[in-house]
Amino acid sequence: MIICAECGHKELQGALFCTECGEHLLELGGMPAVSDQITIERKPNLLGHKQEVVTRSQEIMFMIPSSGRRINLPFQNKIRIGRGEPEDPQAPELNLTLDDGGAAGVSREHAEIRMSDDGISLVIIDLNSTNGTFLNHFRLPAQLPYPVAHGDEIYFANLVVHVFFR
Amino acid sequence: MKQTEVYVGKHHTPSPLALSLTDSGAHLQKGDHEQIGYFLLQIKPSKTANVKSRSPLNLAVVIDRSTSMKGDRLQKVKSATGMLLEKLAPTDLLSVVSYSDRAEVVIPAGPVQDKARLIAQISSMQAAGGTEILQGLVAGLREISKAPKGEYINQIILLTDGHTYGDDRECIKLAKKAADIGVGISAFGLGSEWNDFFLDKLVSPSGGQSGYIQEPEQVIHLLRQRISGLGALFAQNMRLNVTFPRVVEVRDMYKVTPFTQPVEWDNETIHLGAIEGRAPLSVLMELQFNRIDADELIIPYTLRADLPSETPSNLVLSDKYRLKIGRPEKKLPRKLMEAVRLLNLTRMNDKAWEEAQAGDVAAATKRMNYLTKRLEEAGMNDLAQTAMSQTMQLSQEGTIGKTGRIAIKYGTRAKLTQNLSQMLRSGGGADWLNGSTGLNDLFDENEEDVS
Repeated sequence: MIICAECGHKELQGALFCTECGEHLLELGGMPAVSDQITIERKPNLLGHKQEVVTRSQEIMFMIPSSGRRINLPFQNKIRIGRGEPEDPQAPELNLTLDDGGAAGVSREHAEIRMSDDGISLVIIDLNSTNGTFLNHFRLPAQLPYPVAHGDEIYFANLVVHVFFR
Repeated sequence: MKQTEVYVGKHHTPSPLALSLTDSGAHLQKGDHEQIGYFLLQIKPSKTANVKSRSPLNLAVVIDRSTSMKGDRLQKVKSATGMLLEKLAPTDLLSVVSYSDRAEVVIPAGPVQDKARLIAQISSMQAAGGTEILQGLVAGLREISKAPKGEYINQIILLTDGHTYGDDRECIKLAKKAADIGVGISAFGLGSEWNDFFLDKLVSPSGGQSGYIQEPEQVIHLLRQRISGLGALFAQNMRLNVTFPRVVEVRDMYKVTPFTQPVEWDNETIHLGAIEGRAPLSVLMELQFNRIDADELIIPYTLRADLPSETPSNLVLSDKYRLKIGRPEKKLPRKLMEAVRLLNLTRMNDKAWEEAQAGDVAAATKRMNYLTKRLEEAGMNDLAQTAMSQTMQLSQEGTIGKTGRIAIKYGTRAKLTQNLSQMLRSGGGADWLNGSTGLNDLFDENEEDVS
């Protein structure tokens, strides 16, 4: 499978353009479409079995198919994911209020993406959210960091977000 | 008596038709997951081929004279048909049939003589009644069949502005029968009431063209174009048999030059229609691979064609194509990318319509928004405008306007043909060198020579 970085639609390997939005799937300005042979179908693995981990990142792109929103956030220490007032300076960096996150069951402080303590890879951590965080359909135990990979599909409660790293 | 020239694999005498294939095999992988691959096939007369400028035509113009044609439409069709008389050579045959609920022969098949009388006959057509296309096609085919077989290029040109009622299937059956006896069909819709999907099906057995006539003034232009294309016909009734590995399914197929038109295939036979002049015929194929377990897939194919100006006049080309799998670092040929890109826009337009028909207005709106953006990117600003107003209508009324949908459909088709033809004309030489995987024996290397 190939995931379109523009709209998150899945296409078969070998597809050249996204049938959903018409985006070119081969050259995406440094954000290559990825094969989910190694990512989306990859199940997070506590033992750290072979995974395509992200070792560093300057920028993270989030795609939210339900709202069509595409957010590019510079990555420094961490990115918080949750809900807040759009004007509130304390609101999480990825504010899912704008994508109807409340209705989808997203918690105020739902999860965060940061560098792992050993500095090896970027990880996502569920912050005891009410309705859970699912990485590639695998529910993350709360408070345990998991490596994230380019092209991962993450459900924050019922809201699906695709994540890409640059 | 007809003879057949057979070319199999490597050969030393140049074949009158040159064939080349480009593929996206570089982006396929070994494995048992489903994958999509594309082929762009091109066929054109080889350099040594004797391309005559003009072959005698046997045309039947079949005109819708139902009530809705009243006024400007019928008037313009009449004057376009009158103009046709001027364009035909003394050796050509012409018949004119009009139909509503039944058909009348306005001009029986024959050479164009006594133009004043013929024009008077054309002018006598009156608009009244319903639209039964079958009636018109049957009468048109009867007129065409009066000519001796094998001496003419036979073509029915249908002009309609409406839906046909209840006889769709019969019409398509007739079109197949016509194709079998060497009669092609082109069909043009005026206004926005006609059924574009039906016309696509009607022309596909013979590899003909369907089109959209937005303004009645365009009738003349389209007819003229069709006549000059047909007159310069080099090969006709081209049939391609491809033996794909069993793990391959054909998902879709479009002829993209000399015009864009969906192509039908049955029992592995692909009906490609005709080659007009030296202009290459190109076909884009979308294939689904359910499993790939080799680095190279061998695909045997056979092309059959009638070449009116060659002796022998029947041609059979047979060879194997080697599809190489993997090597994603290779750049795909630009023309293949361009064909897939623009075809995708045509399909997005179709799909948005299907979604709107199924009541999924949100999905259709989203797709039309994307389509607007893509059309703009592709420099098709008029169509982007149309797509934008389609999107607005969609959000306000929940439906997609047919006029707009058809304008985008035929607009993107025309753009596809235009861009591809330009690329082929300007010589895809560089493309061939770094892009094509596995040139076959019949490949004509001199790509720049296309004119």
